[in-house]
Amino acid sequence: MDPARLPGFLLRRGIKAAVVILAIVVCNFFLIHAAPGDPASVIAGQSGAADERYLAQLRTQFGLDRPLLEQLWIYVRGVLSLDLGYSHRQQMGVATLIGQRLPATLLLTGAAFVFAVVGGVTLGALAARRVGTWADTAITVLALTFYATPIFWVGLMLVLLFSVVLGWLPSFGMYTVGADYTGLTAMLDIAKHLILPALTLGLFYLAVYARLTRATMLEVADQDFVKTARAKGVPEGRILRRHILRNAMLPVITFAGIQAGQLIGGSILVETVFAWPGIGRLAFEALLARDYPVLLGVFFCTSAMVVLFNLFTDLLYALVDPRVEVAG
Amino acid sequence: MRDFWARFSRNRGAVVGLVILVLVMLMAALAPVIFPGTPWDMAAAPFLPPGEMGMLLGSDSLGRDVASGIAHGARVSLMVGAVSTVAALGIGVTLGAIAGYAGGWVDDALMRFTEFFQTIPSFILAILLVAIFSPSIASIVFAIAIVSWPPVARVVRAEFLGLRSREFVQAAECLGKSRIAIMVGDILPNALSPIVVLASLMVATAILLESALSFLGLGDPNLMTWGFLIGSGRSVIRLAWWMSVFPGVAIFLTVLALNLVGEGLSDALNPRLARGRA
Amino acid sequence: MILSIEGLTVALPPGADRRHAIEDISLTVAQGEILCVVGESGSGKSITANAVMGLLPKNLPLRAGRMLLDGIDLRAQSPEAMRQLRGRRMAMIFQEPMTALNPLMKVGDQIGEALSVHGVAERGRVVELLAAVNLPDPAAIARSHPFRLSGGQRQRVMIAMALALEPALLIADEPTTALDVTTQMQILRLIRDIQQRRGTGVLFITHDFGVVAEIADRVAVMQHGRIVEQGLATDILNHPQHPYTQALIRAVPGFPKGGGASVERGPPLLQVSGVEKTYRRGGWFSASTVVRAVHDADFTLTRGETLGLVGESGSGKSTLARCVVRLVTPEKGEILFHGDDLRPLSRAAMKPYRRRVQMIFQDPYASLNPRKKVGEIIAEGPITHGTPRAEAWARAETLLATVRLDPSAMDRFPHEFSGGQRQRIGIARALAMQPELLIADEPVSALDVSVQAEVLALLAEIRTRENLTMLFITHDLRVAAQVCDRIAVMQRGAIVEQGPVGQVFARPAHPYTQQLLDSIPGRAWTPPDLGEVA
Repeated sequence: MDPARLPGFLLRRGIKAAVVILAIVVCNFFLIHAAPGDPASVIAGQSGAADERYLAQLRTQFGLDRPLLEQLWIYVRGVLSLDLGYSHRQQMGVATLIGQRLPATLLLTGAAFVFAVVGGVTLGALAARRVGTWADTAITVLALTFYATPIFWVGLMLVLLFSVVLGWLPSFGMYTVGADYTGLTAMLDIAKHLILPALTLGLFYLAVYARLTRATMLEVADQDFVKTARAKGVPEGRILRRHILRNAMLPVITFAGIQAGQLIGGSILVETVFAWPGIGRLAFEALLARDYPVLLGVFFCTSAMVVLFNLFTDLLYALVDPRVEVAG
Repeated sequence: MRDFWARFSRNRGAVVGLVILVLVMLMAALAPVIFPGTPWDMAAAPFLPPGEMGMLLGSDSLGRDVASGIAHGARVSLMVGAVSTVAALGIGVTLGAIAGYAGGWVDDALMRFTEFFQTIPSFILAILLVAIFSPSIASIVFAIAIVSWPPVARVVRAEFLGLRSREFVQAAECLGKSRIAIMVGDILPNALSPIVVLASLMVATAILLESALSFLGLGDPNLMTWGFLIGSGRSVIRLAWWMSVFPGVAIFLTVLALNLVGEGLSDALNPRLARGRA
Repeated sequence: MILSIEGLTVALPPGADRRHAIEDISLTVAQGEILCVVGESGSGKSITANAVMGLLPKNLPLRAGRMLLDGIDLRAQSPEAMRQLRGRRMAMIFQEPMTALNPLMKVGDQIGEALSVHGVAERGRVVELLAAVNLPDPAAIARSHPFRLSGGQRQRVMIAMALALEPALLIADEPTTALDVTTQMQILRLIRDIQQRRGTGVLFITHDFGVVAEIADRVAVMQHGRIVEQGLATDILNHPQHPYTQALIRAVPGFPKGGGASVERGPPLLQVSGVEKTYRRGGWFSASTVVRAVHDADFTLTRGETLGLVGESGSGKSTLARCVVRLVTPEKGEILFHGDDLRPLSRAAMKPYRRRVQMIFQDPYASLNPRKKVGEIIAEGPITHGTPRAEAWARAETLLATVRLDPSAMDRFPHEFSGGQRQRIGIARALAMQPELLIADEPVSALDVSVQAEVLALLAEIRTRENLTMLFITHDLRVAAQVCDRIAVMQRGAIVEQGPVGQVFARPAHPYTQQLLDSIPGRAWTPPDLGEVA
């Protein structure tokens, strides 16, 4: 895209992102109201011993005696000022709770994402280039295997193999408890703890990217402009890099945007299996305690992260594909 | 039809997948015969390794037969997979068909709506829905359907959009046929192949989703499921590996089979695209 | 000789309708010569070209023969040596300019790549090359991405790229088929021009005898993978010997001879006035662009006459026709059918008129529902309008005979028929409604020449017998001249000229009409009178 058009593009996409975030807040609100029973008791949690004072506080906060639209307005205003509510169980603001747990999740999902994209695209490209050979078959079978395996089970099996049987890697947590490492050793310690969870979360998406890359590369390789390149004597290696791979990356970028939400969703499972102290683990704890303010907060926060990430992939796509501004 | 089978069976993986799928279905159908009684009952001493005391796949911490749990779990998994896929197809095909056929602002609005559902983290939404409406088979099917329809809507919309401008649809318009007759009679039959392929993959995804929900403790408390088995074996994995390994294998094989069948269907229905796999 | 091919044979994969894609092909191209290889689709002409370039797909193996490029035995070359030859000694341009360029790479970079991969420094050559193919503002074009350029401009870029290293041989595979007539003529002149200046040998593949007459020095006619006749262009065009060549040339429509036979004008059947259709593109947030697809396009159709709507792609002729059948709803204007305005009618109110106005479509492969049997395709219109099923079915069978298809076709699916046969089914479907007005949207442009002639003859026959009024849309002036009583010329959404065929051809009043007429390839050539089929 023409760099001069970038600000306008960002503005348009920014407005769109804001609309989506607003819609998620509204969606949250209606989820609470759709639930059976009094919204206040839903928020406080049916299973716990919610005291009357807290319920009353919630009723005022949501203005439950007022018209629905006004309640919505109060709720939206609250969320937009980053007031995500209060977790009665944890005795802490939801925003603070999420803020504490966010870095661990970002580290985990980021590592898994990079591993999945780099590994998946490489394997997919390799398979497409050697289509029909044993290497292609091996990669295809491998990708299909990970594609069909439940994430949480992969995690358990990795724990079984690398922690229980081989004893190579730690099976839970983010740090060695009580070791109090500092500096480089602390980072190495975290890295060691990160390997299994990141692998677990990444393998499924690695499979997805490998399959997608292989399929689109084969498709692009059939297109007319590849034949043009061949007709002008471009060497095969260069055709692959400059013509096929670049065009094949477009659907991969699109897909990265679409599955960002799934990656975060998957982190709930992985963090649960590995006791990784991120927002996924937080969500699981909240789920066990039916702590709805935290669950809704996690839902809002992860959605917002996905929207931001989509903004980024949109921008990346626009920078790679000159046709975007025309398509609007 | 014979062509279809010829093309389907040319994909050896698809045939293997179909065989596995039929076996899983048989297991689900015959579960009450092979393992009479409920899988919740204590059948032997706890923590028996596979093979001991007639426990083919071992027993769990409460002495329940893991094999029986897997066989009964197959019923739930397949049922949830099928029903939620049908529900998601209902939503997705309807919205996609309307968006693709109507075009214009209707299409715009419906697609923004679909994009919205694709943006929000689907698994977290499913957890929220099941948690808020309290875990039951109905709320699980509902939640899975709600998070899985967007890809259907997009695929159907793209097909309808492409087919709508095809000349045979314009010809149908010129004959004065009604909108419904054109959508159902002329466009939909030509859009079926991708929908069928997608449906087989969606059943697989739904089974994965259901197992993940059960794993987190959001399964129907009255039903034995594969995810529940893995979840309950998790904390004792050092002691009784078989409790988590075998249900996982069951999920893996079923999902793999559905994916393989999906690829076979894709090859058989779109012979044009079936290259590179031959 | 730049290129000489001897006994070239390429196999088809097992299970194809014949064993060899091409068989025993021998031909030569001399320096500075244009050899046209002519044939209908499936004749093997493109495969011949790809074989020379060494670009045959793996499932089409070369079985026999010799190919010499400037004395170099092409079959003896290693893949790397072939790559060196491609682009440097021989180059190729393709049919589809819209897809032949990498969408993500700037045009200049793509031409530059043709130089750099052969070790030639770019140094301003790109802009020079773009200027040499008469592109305006070559420096700006070099910085553009392909999607910014029109089809004609892209084809010029392809030519510039092909000629970058001044190859001895240029292979052009239907390079103008996807282009409009006026652009086609410019590209043909450009190829002729450059080839004469540089002495390049050209292997030009086409299906169009007009193009052959325009550009060829020598001609080779191909049928079913074999060359059936080869010789000087003038000989083949005027004295074809082989029956197949004769059949092809007989099918080329001639020009109207008379000076405009005036048609008796009766009461108007259709009056279109003040119709406007505008398309807006762009989303909720982005700036929208406005395309005026149809405006200032008034015309009147008299009962029994055929009006040709002629224009290039994007001229609005198809949109205008679709306005009449309400596949497109115009914003303004009147569409009077027997005096009733069709434009404001609702879907339900339009229904009775659907019987009376029917349409025939361009693409015989897209216009029939692939999932329905032919009988149902023909009968479903009348059934929709309340004809009892048995009656509609019986009539469909009669109609199949009318369009000269076997009644057994009723129970078969469209894919079992050839392009020409499908177009007949489409005609039968329209006739089943017993319409008064028939709109034919490029009904023969997707068909091979010989099939074209049959379908046109069928249309003419039915038209006379049923006293049909017809609106005939075409981009092909030769076809228009053969079929129509009057023609209306459209340009950028407006009718710029209309009148009796003879008059418009003989004395075009509008400069655009003149330009269109001048762009008919091979205008100077009058197809010889070969008499009726023996």
